[in-house]
Amino acid sequence: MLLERKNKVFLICKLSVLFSFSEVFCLDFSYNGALTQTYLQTTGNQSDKDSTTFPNTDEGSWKFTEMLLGGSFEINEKLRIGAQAISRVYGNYGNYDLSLDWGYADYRHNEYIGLRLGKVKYALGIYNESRDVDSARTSILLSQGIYDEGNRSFVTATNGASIYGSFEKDKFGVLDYQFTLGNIDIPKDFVMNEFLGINGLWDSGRFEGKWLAGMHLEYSAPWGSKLDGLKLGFSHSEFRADAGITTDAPIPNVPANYDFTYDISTTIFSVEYTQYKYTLGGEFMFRQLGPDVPDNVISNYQAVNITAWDILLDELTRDQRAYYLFGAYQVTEKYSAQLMWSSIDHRNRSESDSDIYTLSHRYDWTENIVTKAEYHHMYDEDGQWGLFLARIGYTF
Amino acid sequence: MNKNYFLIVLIFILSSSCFGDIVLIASKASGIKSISKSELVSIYSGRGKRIGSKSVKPVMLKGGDVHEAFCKIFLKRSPSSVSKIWKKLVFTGKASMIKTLSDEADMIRQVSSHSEYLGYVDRKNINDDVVIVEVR
Repeated sequence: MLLERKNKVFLICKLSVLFSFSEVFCLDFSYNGALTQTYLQTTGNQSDKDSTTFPNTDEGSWKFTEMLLGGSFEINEKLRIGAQAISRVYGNYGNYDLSLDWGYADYRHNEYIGLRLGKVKYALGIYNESRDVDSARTSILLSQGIYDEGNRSFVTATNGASIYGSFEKDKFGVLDYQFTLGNIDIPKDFVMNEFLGINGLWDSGRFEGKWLAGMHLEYSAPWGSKLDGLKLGFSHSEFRADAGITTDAPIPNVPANYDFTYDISTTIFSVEYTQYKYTLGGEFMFRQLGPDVPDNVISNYQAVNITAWDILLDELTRDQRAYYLFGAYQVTEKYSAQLMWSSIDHRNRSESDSDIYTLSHRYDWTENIVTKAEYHHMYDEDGQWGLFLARIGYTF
Repeated sequence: MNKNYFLIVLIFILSSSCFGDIVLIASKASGIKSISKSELVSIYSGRGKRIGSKSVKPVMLKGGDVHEAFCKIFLKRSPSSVSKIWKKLVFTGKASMIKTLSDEADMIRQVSSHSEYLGYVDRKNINDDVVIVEVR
């Protein structure tokens, strides 16, 4: 959520209070921060290939900057509280607005069950929770079919609660679980808001989160077994949004405003295998999204031949499959490389399918300074093109 | 055949002397004598906080051969992989950053004076201020 000025002040105050409390009461406090700057360049006469998230990258763009500042402290062995602020610009979005990345109280009753309340990170696939943590991976971008950069500002955390825990046995490994219930803050400049007012067909659009429910299960094979290093994941989430469209030019028998609900259902299967210096992995996602519009409403609109309504319904209804495989290798302690193939398959919308091959390099100059370079080669309905990214990051 | 056998033995001896004999250590006051493999991995992955009923905090070396050997032998991960695990935990609010120490002398000093700390050193550097924790 993009915060107003008073909310920004409140957020800074909240972090300041965290810092000073810990000093006064000698609590176990830790703080962290990160700053990354990324350069993007598309290749291959791609002026028409710019995405809505990163426009004008055919001329090169520096509009991909992020800053994180967070802190947390343990009140006792079971209870910890913390918060992290994020400010970023990424293409047309962000505008360096300060927002709360996460901020919650975490009560871990025992290893089997814990409760987080506030703006909590939630798992959807095995990398959603850590999407903001650039220093924790080799690549710059995750597979865009599943972890779309344009949605990152609001799909990594939810305002609500999560129940989590793990069951561990020497011979059977570890089963972690997480159930989340809440809502997500969708920024006003999110592409869906613009889209609902498509090209003047409608005067304005509205897209606001209503609720989100998610579950994540993750199994890790037992230490020392033949399968040690294997991780399997299963995630499912249901998200409902309130949406609406408005026109200033009412048509007889057709309302000027129409509100509807919009549902997104996502299921992800994940696998990751790590052995000392290399990691292999992949994920497979099913996603269905679409507006819940009664048939009689559709027929009313169609009866007066409002083609914009058909376009809207067609564009908003999707049945997606996205999947990827990757292999990463820690060549030396400072240098690692990763290869990834990912694919997006829009069922019944073959014109949107794409395959992407990505080669990533990461070099750790010091414990705090990391540089990365990455090339994506894309094949889609219009041919092939490339995206080059270079990033420097500082973490503390 | 004999040559190959000799080479294997030589490589084993050389690698042993490079990595040394890494042992887990705790304070004498901690009362900790042993730890299961899964408890060890769980604690150094930021998931677990206890050995039996005793609360513990892991500490790590910043780098070097002993740290690399510990990550490889006990955690079966590279040092950079272990570092990434902790960064994920910290930046998602799930844990405070693990305490890192510059050398083994500091490790022994810190562990001996904090009953909740769990650390590791090369066996040859151990002294009477700490006890060896058996991995069962």
